[in-house]
This record gives sequence, C-alpha cells and structure tokens, in this order.
Amino acid sequence: MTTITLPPAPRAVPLLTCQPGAVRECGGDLLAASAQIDDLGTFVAGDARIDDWTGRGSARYHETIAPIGRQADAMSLALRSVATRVDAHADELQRLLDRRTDLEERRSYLTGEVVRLRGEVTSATEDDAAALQAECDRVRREVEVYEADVTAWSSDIAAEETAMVQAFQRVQEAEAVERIYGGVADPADGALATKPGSGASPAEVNAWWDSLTPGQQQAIIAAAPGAIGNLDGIPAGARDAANTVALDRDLADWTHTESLGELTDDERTWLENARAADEARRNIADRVDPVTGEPIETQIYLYDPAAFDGDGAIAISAGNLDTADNVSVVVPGLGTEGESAGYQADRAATLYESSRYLDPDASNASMFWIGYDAPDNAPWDEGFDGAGVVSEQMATAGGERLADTIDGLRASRDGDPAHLTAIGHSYGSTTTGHAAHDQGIEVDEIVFVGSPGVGGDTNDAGDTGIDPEHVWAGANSRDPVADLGNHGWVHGETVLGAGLGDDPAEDDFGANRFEAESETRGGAFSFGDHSKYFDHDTESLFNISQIVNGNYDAVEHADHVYDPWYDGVQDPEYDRNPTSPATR
Amino acid sequence: MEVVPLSVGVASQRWDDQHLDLDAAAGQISGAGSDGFTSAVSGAASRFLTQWQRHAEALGTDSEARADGLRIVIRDYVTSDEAAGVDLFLLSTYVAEQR
Amino acid sequence: MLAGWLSTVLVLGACGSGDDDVVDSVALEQQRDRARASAKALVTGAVDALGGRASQTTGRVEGCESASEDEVRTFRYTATGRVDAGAAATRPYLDGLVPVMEAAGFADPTPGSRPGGSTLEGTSGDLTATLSELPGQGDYVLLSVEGPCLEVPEEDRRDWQRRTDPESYL
Repeated sequence: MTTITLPPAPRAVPLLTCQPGAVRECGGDLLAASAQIDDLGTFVAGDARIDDWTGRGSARYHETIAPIGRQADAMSLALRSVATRVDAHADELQRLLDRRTDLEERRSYLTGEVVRLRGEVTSATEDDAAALQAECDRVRREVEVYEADVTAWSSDIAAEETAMVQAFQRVQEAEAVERIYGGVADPADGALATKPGSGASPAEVNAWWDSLTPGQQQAIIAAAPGAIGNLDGIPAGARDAANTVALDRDLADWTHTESLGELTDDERTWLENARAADEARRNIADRVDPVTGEPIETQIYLYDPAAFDGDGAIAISAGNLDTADNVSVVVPGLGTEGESAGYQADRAATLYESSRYLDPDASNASMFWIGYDAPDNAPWDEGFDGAGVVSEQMATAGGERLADTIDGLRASRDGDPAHLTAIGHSYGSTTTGHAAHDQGIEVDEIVFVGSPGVGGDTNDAGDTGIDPEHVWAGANSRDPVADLGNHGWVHGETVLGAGLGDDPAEDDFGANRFEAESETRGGAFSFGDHSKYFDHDTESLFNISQIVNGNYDAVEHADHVYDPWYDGVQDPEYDRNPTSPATR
Repeated sequence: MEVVPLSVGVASQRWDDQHLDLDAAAGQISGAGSDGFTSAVSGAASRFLTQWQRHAEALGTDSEARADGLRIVIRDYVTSDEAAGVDLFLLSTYVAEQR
Repeated sequence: MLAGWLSTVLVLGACGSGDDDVVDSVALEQQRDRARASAKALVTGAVDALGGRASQTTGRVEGCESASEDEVRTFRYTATGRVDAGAAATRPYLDGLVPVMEAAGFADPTPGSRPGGSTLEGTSGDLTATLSELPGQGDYVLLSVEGPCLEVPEEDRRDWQRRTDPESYL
C-alpha cells in the first residue's frame, strides 16, 4: 500500500484593522496645523517687527519675539515631517490591506485544493497514487510559498508600525523639536526665493516647479500653500495639495473664531465661501465613478475665499486634470459666486459621470470654474426689476482670467495634451466667447449652452478662433435666457445699445447646434429650463458629454434657430418631442 | 518717555490674531484623531496629538502675552503726562483687546 | 445692457412645475432606507454567488431636476456597490446573478446593455436595481439601487443638496 502525503492546510491571514482614509485625514489636519504654525514664524520675521518704534521698550520687545519665531519655525518643520510620514503611512496601510486581500484569495483557493485532494485520496486506487502524490506536492509547494508571503506581509506590517511610532516619538517633546529642527532652514524658503515674478508665463512657472526637488515642493505646499495654490502653470495635483492645506487651515481658524463670537463681517463671508468649497469637494468625492465604482477623485484647482470683494473664487475638478484624456472646464453665469460651489460641483460631477459612462475607455476630468466676478443680479433671484443692468464688462474681464486658466492647464501637463473643452453656460458663455475672441484660447472644443449672447464682437463661430466644426451650441426652446441673444439683422449693441452678442444657436452664427430639450420642459419660457443642461438623462448632458469625449458622430444635431425678415424668431426644436438618453 | 507709534497698536492686534489661529491649530491637532491607525500605533499617535495640542496652545499663549505686553506699553504711554501727537486718540483704541 | 431685453420675455414662471407633486421629505428618507436594505441583500448575494468581495458599499442623495442656478427641485436616493469576482467565478457574471436579484425581491430581471458592457435590471416596488458588468475594465460587477425622483418641500432643498451618507449599508 502506497502512502500519500497530503499538503498542509494554509493558515489564516491575520487581521489588519485600520482605516487608511482616516489616517490620511489625520495627516492632512497635521499638515494644515503646521502651515498655521509656520505663519507665526513668518509673522515674527515680518509684520511683527515694528521698525518705527525705538528705544529700550522696542529693543526688549524685539529681543523677546525672536525666540518665538525660531520656535515656531522649528515646530512647523517638525510637525510637517510627521504629517508627511502619516500620509505615507496611509499609503502603506492601503498597500498592506490590498496585499491581505490577495493573500485571502490565495488561501481560499489553496484551502479548496487541500479539501479536494483529501477527498481524492480517500477514493484513490494504487494506480492513481503517483499522480496524486505529484499533485499533492505541487499544492504543498504553493502552500509553502503562501506561508512565506504571509510571514513577509506580517513582518512588513510590524516594520511599518515601528517606523510610524518612531516618527511620532522622535519629535514628541519640545526639547527634541529644538534639538533636531532649531535653526534649520526651511527648504521652502530657498525654493520660493527662485520663484518667477508675477508676470511669468504658465510655462515659466511650470519650468520652475519642475526644477525643484520633491522635498522642496512638499515644503512649499505645507509652508506657503498660498504661493502656488492658484498659480497657473503649477500641476493640478500640487495645486490641490496646497489648496487643501489652505482650506483646512481656514476652516479651522474661522470656525474657532466663530465659536468665540469674534468673527468679523469679512471673515464671516470668507468662512461661508470656505464651507461652500468644503461642501463642493465632498459632493464630488461622495459620488462614484460609473466605470470603476470607486469614489471620484477631486482636485481643488482654485481657492480664494476673499476674491472679488468676498464673492470668492473656487474651481474644483471631478477627475484628475493632470492625467485625464478629456478635460472640460464649465464656466457658470449670472448669480454665481463662491457660495454656489456646492451646486456647481454637482454639475461637474454629472458631466464626469456621463462622460465616463458613455466612453468607459477614456479618462475624464470635469471642472467647474468660479474664477471670475460674475454679475450678482440674476433675474430668477431678484425678478426683472432687480436684475438691472448686465453688460459685457465682467465677461471681458472674466475672459482674460479664463484664458489664463486654460493656458495654465495646458502648460502644467506632462505627456500627451488633453482633449480640452470649454463650456460656457448662461453669462458664462459670454465670458467664454470673450476668452476665445479677445484672448485666443487653446481648446479643442467650445460649447455654449443657454447663451444670452457670446459677446458683441463675435459675429460667427469663426470669430472664436476655433474651427467652426468644433464650436457647439445647445439651447432649450423654453429657456428664456437662450432667447436673449441677437437674432437676424438686429444687433442689440449697435441698434438699441443693449445685448450680449449673437445667439450661437442661430443659423447665421454657424456653430453646430445640438439637441438640448428636456422631457420636463415647461409649456412656455421658464427659468427652470435654463438650469437643466447638466441634469442626468437629458439630451443636453448626453450631447455635451459626447463632445467632451470627442465622439462627434454620436452627437444628436438640431436644426438652427432662424429669424426670417417677414416673421419673428423661429425655433424648429419647439415642437419636437424631447428624448431622455441614458447618461448614467 | 519714548514715543509709542500707532504701529505698536496694529502689532498688538496681529498678535491677537496669531493667538486665535494657533488655538484653532491646537484644536485641529487634537481633533485629528487616531482611530484609523492600527492598535500598535494608535497609542503613540494619541500621545503625540495630545502633546502637540499643548505645544500649539503654548505658542498661542505666548502670542497672547506679546499682545498683552504691547497693550501695557500703549496704556502706560497714553496715560502718561508726556504723551502727545495726533495719533494719541487712535492709539488709545488699542488699549483694550478687540477685533 | 440686458434689462430691456429681459422685459421682453416677461411671460415666465419661476419654475416649470407646480406644487402638486410635493411630498414630505419623509418619503425620501424611507426611499433611502429601502434602497440601502435592498442593496445590502444584493451585494451579499453577489458576494456568495461570485465568491468575491464587496467594496464601496455606500449611497447618496442625488439631485434629479434643477430648479434654478443653485437649487435642485427633485431628488432620489442611490445606493451603489462593487463586487470583485473570485478566481473561480466565470463570465458572464450577470448570468449567475439572476437568482440573486430574484431572491432580493427584484422579479424577472431584464438583460440589457450599456457602453462597454452589459446590465441586468429589475424592479421591486418603486425601486430599480441595476447590475453591470464591463469585461474590458476588470473582473467585477457594479450595483446600483435607486428610487424615483421625488420633489421635496422648497425649504428642505438645501439640506438635501448638502447631505452626505458615507456609512456603509452592509
């Protein structure tokens, strides 16, 4: 009788209980706090000095504050080092969890193999013995490799835990902080000294950033997030890291001051904008990619809660702007300010979801851009009397800023350039029109939706500087704002001294008009229909997404608006039954 | 007595701002949370966060002391017989802490 | 100057719909609870059927129809999840998930397609469950359970827009 040696059962994978996301948030909080402490050091070296005060009192004061500055500088470096280590720890924990998942799957497979072989052995004949032993030996070898991998995995956990504990303990006490970091130069200082001046192009800024070491880049993000967070030419990932530090720091500062009842009016306004930015990033991160099922990546590309007299400037992307195949920038219109960020984030997210759903093989990033001072007086908020005067002035200024943003997006990317689409909605289409006509923007597609006019000097699609084949217009027939553009031979600016330019959906303009009706459209003009262009399962979102993806053949074209001399403005879409194409 | 310029009052307010900001940073550190770490690390993390909350608070207290010190300088000056100048009224508004 | 132009289109309502369909926000809360319970049953069944593991088992309130430039009129709850198939699972994964759908109360699930993949869709009351398989993207199945769009009272809109729901339903 032949004896068959069975392979051993593989041992269970030990539990690994941790939350990398929570650890990463802990690191982010520590980094934001380090930026705050760094600010004290900067303050002591600068604004705390009172140069026009002389005498013994002044001398004593300046002697007293110097050690505080030194201590703050050392503490910020120490806390930054721990924050960076905590962030790396979060990454490592995630890798260890992934490895554990793989090990569990291997164990499950091997356990099944062992059970199978045990069963086969009980019913095996002498003739089967050799083959069965060979099979058992194969599984045994696999179990041995598995066991070694479990041991290595456990060792790696222990090593990582030890390193993290040591990083905490190394600078736990103030004496250790002074001993290790006292008088040490901040790597951010030297790097910032070489930063190009305010007139530098995005390409020059990008070249400077690329010339820095990773350590210098990380130091700037932590110590001086405001220096790069909104600087065109800096890659979106670095801008996001810097703006995250700034946003977290601002939220902590102003919330604390609010709790003491000491917020100034300005700070209250800024806090509202900061909270809107926080809501916006959470709105996006809370949703899932329709292809992977994983949370959508967010990037805070622009964060300045005090911009435009407190209206605020915020731009946040759904998706990675540095690497996405297709990038779109949504420019909102009337009544948009920082506090609108939460809602605008939903629009960026629906566009991201739709674009991904319709082309799962392409990566996407969709960014809402509240980067200009839009008119506050929206007619749907204030009625027509309150709406008052809306001119092109803000669109002209906004167009310059948009052009800078597009330049920055282009210059900061490595590798293949993105297929880039600028989407102007409402007054944002006037702004986009000005950016294209006045500044020239390096985009692949321009989309105007719900446009009240694309600027008085843009008479046809060719005036945008983009091939008219790539200029698009969407207009819901019930949208009253889309009906405000110039039609036919009537040009408001010249005839009546009013108007925001031509209707891009009209035949004379020469853009591609796409279907943009909504199944929930009203029976007559309705401001609700001015706001549905980015809602899921609408013709508009479907077509915008196909344009963003460069899938031109899939775009459903619509007949243009026209204005015969013998009659009023005609919209062929008015009587067409709307559809509801799937976008999710 | 040495003249105390208005800029001393401005600096005292800035030190108060630093105090507020550092208290906020201390709160941020203590609220960072150690729950996500493994049990082998969470103790060290918790201890670090507690200790650093104190470090940040101490820096805030130092900042407040600088603001208070400057306010004493201002009060001594504006109540002295030697005080003079057009900024005296404005300077006196910095005697009390306010935002 | 746009004011003169705006006065020419005065025949407008503030919103396309009346208040006839306004429901209490409680209905949306109930939709959330039912969607999460169904998603839990489906994910648990799919993990068993595919020998796999579940992840991203969360849900959220999503806006359906915009009312104005910064406001949404109707909302629905969507619970989503992902189940990575085990090594022994065979494609098409969705074929083996018909009983799972039925056991979770989604009778007669219907096969369909989506860009780059296929779907299995079923309804249970007012809830719709969709399972997706995208062979070109990886060895997993995506799941979503959602209810119909509901109009909430105007004063509750901002709260629903801001609401997040990061807890897993498992």
